[in-house]
Amino acid sequence: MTDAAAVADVGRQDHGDLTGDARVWPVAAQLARRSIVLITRLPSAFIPSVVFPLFLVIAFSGSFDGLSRVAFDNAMSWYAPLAVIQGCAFVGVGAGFAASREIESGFYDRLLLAPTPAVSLLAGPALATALRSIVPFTIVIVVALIGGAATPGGPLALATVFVAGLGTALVHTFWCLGLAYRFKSQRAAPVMQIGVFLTNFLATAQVPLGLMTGWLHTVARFNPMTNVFRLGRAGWIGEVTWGDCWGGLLALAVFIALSFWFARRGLTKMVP
Amino acid sequence: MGDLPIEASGLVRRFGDFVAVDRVDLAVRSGEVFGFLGPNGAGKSTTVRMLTTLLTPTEGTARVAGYDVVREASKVRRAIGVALQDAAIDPLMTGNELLRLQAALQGIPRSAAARRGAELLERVGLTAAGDKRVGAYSGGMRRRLDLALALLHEPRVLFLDEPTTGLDPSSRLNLWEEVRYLNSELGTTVLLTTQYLEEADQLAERIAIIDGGRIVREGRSGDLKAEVGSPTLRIELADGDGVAAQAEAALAPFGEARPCEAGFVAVGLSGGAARMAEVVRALDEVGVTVAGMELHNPTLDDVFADATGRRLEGAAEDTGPDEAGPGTMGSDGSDGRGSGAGAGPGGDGAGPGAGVGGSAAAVSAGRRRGRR
Repeated sequence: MTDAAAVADVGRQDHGDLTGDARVWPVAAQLARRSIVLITRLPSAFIPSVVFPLFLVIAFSGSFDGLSRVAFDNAMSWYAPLAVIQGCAFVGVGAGFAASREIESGFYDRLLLAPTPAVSLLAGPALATALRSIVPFTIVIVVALIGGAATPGGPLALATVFVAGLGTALVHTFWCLGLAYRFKSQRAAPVMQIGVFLTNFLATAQVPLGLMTGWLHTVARFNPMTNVFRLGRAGWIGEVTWGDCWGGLLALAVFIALSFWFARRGLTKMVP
Repeated sequence: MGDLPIEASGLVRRFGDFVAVDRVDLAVRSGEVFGFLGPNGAGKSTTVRMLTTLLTPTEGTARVAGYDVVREASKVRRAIGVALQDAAIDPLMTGNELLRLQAALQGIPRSAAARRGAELLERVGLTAAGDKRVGAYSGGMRRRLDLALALLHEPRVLFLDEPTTGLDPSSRLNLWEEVRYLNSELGTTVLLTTQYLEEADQLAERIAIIDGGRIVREGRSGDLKAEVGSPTLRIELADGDGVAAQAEAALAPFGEARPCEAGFVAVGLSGGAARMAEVVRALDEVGVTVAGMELHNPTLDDVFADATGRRLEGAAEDTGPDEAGPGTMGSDGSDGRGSGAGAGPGGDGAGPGAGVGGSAAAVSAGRRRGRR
């Protein structure tokens, strides 16, 4: 039998109906699994989201230690949540980079050709982002605690910063996927990164609101990321209070919803 | 689905001011291998992308497997298998991982997917390479994996977008065999795009020739060639283009001029091989020295030239299968899957050999492969 005949023979066997309805979660799980596996096969694409926040927490807490006397009690406690949130944001950006790369290479066509709900193509990267975010979170927190960070809020401090990081990662995942679907190439990459820097550094990323002046103070005051940083630092700078948390939770919920809509609209514009 | 698994009417796709596909009508019958032949940039892939729901038509309608490609895109996707030109496979993943992903994307239950995937990998000769990263695969292995992925859910309609571009002759032959059997044994309807004349001639029952976004000819290969009529006599001029005008004038009584490359003249020779000696004498009389001549029956390249005034781009690369001979997939670096495919199938040139000796011309004629 030739190979071709053998291929045909496969088709003659009774496999039942192989054309089912692809459900959201099995597809999302496979996509997430693939994303995690690819960390080991293309580490260069993931390393920045670990190295950058580590650099951030070590460099900033060293450089701005003097601020401890006027702004906060412990520089490491102030900058560790920033590093986690920043690292998680870059995990989300990484999902956008990957989508851009795969759209350009043609691999994404395979996903778009599947009879699966569009939401599964968003849920997969989101699930992967959630899992990948654990890496920068864990590394930064361990380094920060070793470096002398204090958590007056106790174990709840870990929860607040994780929620802030995870939420930020999801926002950037959906935002960057939306950009990837619109640009359809890696030209989207700079725009994806700018989003992280603009939102973070025009908020209370480096210093408390009270130390800011002029336009930066005004922008940071109204920037929703200020609330997210407040959420992330709850338990690290003082106790965990509802007052410190609700604004960040609300901002994340709104931005996750908006960025999801942005991504979904981009995806449905790409294919009918 | 009726008798037309692929139907398109007035299909148009514009990118800004550029019209990539211009009022394309298609009617592919059930169980047919339909060839979509044209040069790079002709609109083949854009048409396929519209038919496979990857691109929304600017105008017109299309139905695949009985479903509208815009309004019922998800149903279309469920019914079709697609192997795209760029072999959309991630080089960082293994063959088995891609099969698992494809199964999930198609909603195939895990147990059925594992069995079906293993069988397909075995049949395309990639079992041993199943756990290797695709980046380590040869071009032929990638195409075979792509084909296996496209077949995983047993589609009724299969789209193959330039499936053999970049493959060595042996791998190309093997893929042709697979397409033939899929069609003949399973009754799968296949729409195949290609820029290779030979591929269209060998595989497709009917062919549409597309150029500049428009279908310029459509029909059975034999019928299309018959429409061209007289065989083409192609003459290489010893003195190059400088005497082309004289040569064309001398050839005018023998038939209509046909397009050809610089340094040559070509004519549709009414009366066929019997008149070749007359041609040589006529050229000799006007002082044109002939470096070579060849006469061939109409080919798909002639059909293309007749329709567009140009030769088909890439046709010169189409030397493949005749050079292949019997063999295996080994030449692409694969795991040595035996092909069993025999010597290269006949070309589209099957012309009557005709040679004229003489001092004025070194003449070669006969079987002709595709050329520019």
